[in-house]
Amino acid sequence: MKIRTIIYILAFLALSSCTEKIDLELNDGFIRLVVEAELTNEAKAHEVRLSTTASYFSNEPVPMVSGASVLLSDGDDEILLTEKSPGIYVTPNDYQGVPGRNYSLRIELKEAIANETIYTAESFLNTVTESDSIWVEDHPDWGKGFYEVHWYAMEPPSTDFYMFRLFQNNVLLTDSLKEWSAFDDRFVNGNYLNGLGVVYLDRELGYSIKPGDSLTLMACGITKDFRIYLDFMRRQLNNQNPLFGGPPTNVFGNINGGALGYFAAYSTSYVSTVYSIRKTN
Amino acid sequence: MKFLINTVLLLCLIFCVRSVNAMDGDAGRITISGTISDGKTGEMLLGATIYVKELASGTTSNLYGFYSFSLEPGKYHLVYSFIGYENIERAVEIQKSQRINIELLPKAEMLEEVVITGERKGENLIRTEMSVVKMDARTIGRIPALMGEVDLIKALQLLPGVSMASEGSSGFSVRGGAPDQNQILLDEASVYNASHLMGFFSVFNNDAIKDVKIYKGDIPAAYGGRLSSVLDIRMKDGNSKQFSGTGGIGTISSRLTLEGPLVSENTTFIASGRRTYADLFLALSSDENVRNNTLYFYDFNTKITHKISDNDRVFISGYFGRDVFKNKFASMDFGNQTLTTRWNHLFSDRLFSNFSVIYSKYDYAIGTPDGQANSFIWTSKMRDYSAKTDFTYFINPDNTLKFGSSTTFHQFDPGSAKGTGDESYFGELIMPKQYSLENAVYISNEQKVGSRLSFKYGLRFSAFTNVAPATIYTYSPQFIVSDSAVYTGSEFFHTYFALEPRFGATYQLDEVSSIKLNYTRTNQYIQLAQNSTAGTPLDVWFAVSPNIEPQVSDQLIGGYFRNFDHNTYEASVEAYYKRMDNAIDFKDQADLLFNKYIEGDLRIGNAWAYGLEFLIRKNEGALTGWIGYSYSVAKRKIEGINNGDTYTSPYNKPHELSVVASYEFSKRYSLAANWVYSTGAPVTFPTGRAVIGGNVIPVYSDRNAYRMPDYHRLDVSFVVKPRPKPNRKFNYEWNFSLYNAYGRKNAWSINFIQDEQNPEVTYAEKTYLFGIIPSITFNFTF
Repeated sequence: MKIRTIIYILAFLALSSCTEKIDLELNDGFIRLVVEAELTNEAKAHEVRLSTTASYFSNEPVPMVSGASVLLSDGDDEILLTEKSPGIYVTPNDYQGVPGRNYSLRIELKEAIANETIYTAESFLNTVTESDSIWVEDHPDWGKGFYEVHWYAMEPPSTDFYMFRLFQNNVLLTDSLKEWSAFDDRFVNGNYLNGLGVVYLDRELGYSIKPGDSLTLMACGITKDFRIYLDFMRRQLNNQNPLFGGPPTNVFGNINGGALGYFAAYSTSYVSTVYSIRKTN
Repeated sequence: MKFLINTVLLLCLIFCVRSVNAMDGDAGRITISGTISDGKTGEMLLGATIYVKELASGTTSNLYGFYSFSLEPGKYHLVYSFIGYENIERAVEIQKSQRINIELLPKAEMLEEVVITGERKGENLIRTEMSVVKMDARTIGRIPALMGEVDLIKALQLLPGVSMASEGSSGFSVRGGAPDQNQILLDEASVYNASHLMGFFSVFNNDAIKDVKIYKGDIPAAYGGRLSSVLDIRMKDGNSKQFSGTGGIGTISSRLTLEGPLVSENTTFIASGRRTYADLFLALSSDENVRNNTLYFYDFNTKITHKISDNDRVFISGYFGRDVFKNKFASMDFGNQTLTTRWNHLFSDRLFSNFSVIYSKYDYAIGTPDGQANSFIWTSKMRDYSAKTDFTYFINPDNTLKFGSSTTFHQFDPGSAKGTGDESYFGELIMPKQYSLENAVYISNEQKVGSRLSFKYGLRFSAFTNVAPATIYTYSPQFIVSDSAVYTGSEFFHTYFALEPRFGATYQLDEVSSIKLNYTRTNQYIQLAQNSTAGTPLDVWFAVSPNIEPQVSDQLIGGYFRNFDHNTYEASVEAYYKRMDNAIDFKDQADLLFNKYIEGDLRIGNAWAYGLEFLIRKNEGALTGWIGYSYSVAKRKIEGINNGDTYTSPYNKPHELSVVASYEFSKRYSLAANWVYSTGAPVTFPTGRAVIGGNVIPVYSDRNAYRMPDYHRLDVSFVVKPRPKPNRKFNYEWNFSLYNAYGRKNAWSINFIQDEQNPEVTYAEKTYLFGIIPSITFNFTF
């Protein structure tokens, strides 16, 4: 439910708010390891990225962490990932996660960060429901307009958590964390989803879809923890204001040892459509 | 349990009445009593003074304009006075008890500096009352306001110790407390959400208001249930002399108030309405999306007063207000309703009583239009049903005893959401309702000891009961639900009891100065789930339970009061220390809406605040206003928040200064201005960055380790009236005002932005709400 949207509209109709860049003096923060690791049920080279935090206004790429040994285990077998480029560690090309298994990640650093050299994480690999179809609706008349991806699928009676990503002509369009929409089935559990809006793309942010474009929705069955993590991260990326949300805090994912970031395992289901302009009913 | 509570209540009342009778043996004395009202409108005057020259002693009228004073038979000079009114002096010879109803006339010549004859004592020096500020509707009306909308809450925010929760917000914090720790009463009914339009305006229409009093500490025993403050707002009774009207046409709203006698002078009515018309301007927009929006709010206040006899009066008053927003995608509406029925009865010249039955409701609904796949409606409401009794026994000139009771049944419906129409894919989600009973009895006495010293001591005994049906969850130390208990029927399954002592002392040093001391304990049983500073209309209130203990506050205040220039200037300095136990905050990223396990998202600890407040006020003459300054510290220490380390309370602003002035040049022109300065609000800023999922993620400092930029603002207004003509029935004025007159870009929020073109680059950006906002209002009376 887009309650926030509604309230933003309310607030901004009432006011003529303006923004302006300002200079702030901020202390240098602490340094921590940052882990980004994903594993799916697809056969491919799955990536683990290791970097560190930097001072907030450093305005350059963050330092990558090389020379670590990164181990992935499915409970029975353990594999060692290879460092393909500095800080980026990959599984073999045919590695495939199995739904229902619990995966664990173990990172051993060459040099300690914040006095820690060993970091571990675990994630269960959930299943995902099959997608029936999608259609993409254009709402040109609201602000600068936005696209809404409607999803058709049978929502199973179990408690489920979803993440969505969208490909445009086979290129990942929603390629950053704040674009990965996620939801739980609290309001729709066990119902047939006859066109649930799952991805919203604001034209103002530069999205443009043309008739004939192929659009593919990747629906992912994620864990509750990862759903919460995504939600918290997105809140952290949202603008702060006195109306919503508490004071911002650091969001630690599921990495033990005091690192930021996450290790997420999930199943995927793909469904495609070719975009054509269709009138809203 | 119910039996026990009722018994305790009954015993207390019997005890009170017994003690009253026991003290009634002062045979030689007789009583003068009566009411003090405005001679032009018949409105009762609250807090007017009666001074007996021969005894160098006096009293004040109560909340219903009634006074009572007992003395020995003889000849006396009585002086009746009230700020802004001509004094009346009566030479009387009294042999037996008698009623003297007095009508005071407003000062005709506000321009001439008032000649203080020395008869009006510095009432503020003598009263055993501190940390209390009273304001009448006229004072509030003179303060320049945002978009010309006169707003009593914005006026109160200009007092030391009262901070605005965020720019433009009608939420406020008193001495480091949270906004939900303020009890806002409109004719005794709790107003749960005093905001219109996201808080930029408050729900109180100044035309319907008589008098406002805020207790920042030293909360009388008659009040309870909130930790930080009581804001007691009294509506006008209506003109009993003649039919009259007040109104205004403003930049965003129009108002009309009609009042007058009904049939006879004994019955009066007032009806007051206000509606905004921002949506009328939206219709002029060239943008179809803007044009199709509905956005407005309205208020309606009404009151009927009937004088049955000299001993009995009844009042029925109500408030109804609503905000409505609608467009093709969504709709939302919210508002308060209150209804108060009161009966004043004089058992004798010295025993005044009031009985009230009160209903209060706040509700909201938010939804999307029918007939679509995502159609839904979400509603929430909370209702209070209360009954109160209050007795004042004017035992003798040295003792005034007050006692009474209150009972409130709370019914909270935190929310239900469901899909609407056949096509909706939404199911139904209903949050369990909460029922509870809040009871209290109190007794207090004001006692004069000699001519300089006076005491006020009282005790409030409160009880809070959770009423079934309910499901109470048990939480592990990690705040995970481990068990649940289901209560059915209407069982009283859990009760908290508390004793809340109140004590005050006043010692008059000399004719112009006094010192005062006060200790107040308050308990709070219901609270608002809110972790942002300004909040939204989507309020969720929750009660204490077996898992959450009541919040308790102990406040100690000392003050020095000094009047200057024949009581023309009233100055005070107060120091306070406040400790709050079982203070509530919410865990990081708490889920406040549709969360059955909200108790698991609470973190409980301690909070404390201390500070120093200076106030100098001038109430009469061509120049009126005040200067207030406060220095304050407010901290919290709560396990599970900020690593368990002490952090600054969200509303704390160490330095706050306000200058409020109004000057009447002539009968036609007057100018008003206020300037405020405060340290920026505490805020959490990033000190580092991490790149996760392709986004630069801020790494934050300790909670509230930084401050927003300093806040300051000047507002001015200029009022022009037509040349005065005697016997003109229709009077009007033009009010031109500028909010934020020098265009200070005060930061409402500061955000950290990742540059679109160059994702490695981040910068800080402030959002400010208001530039210079001019407005014109046309006000009239007839």
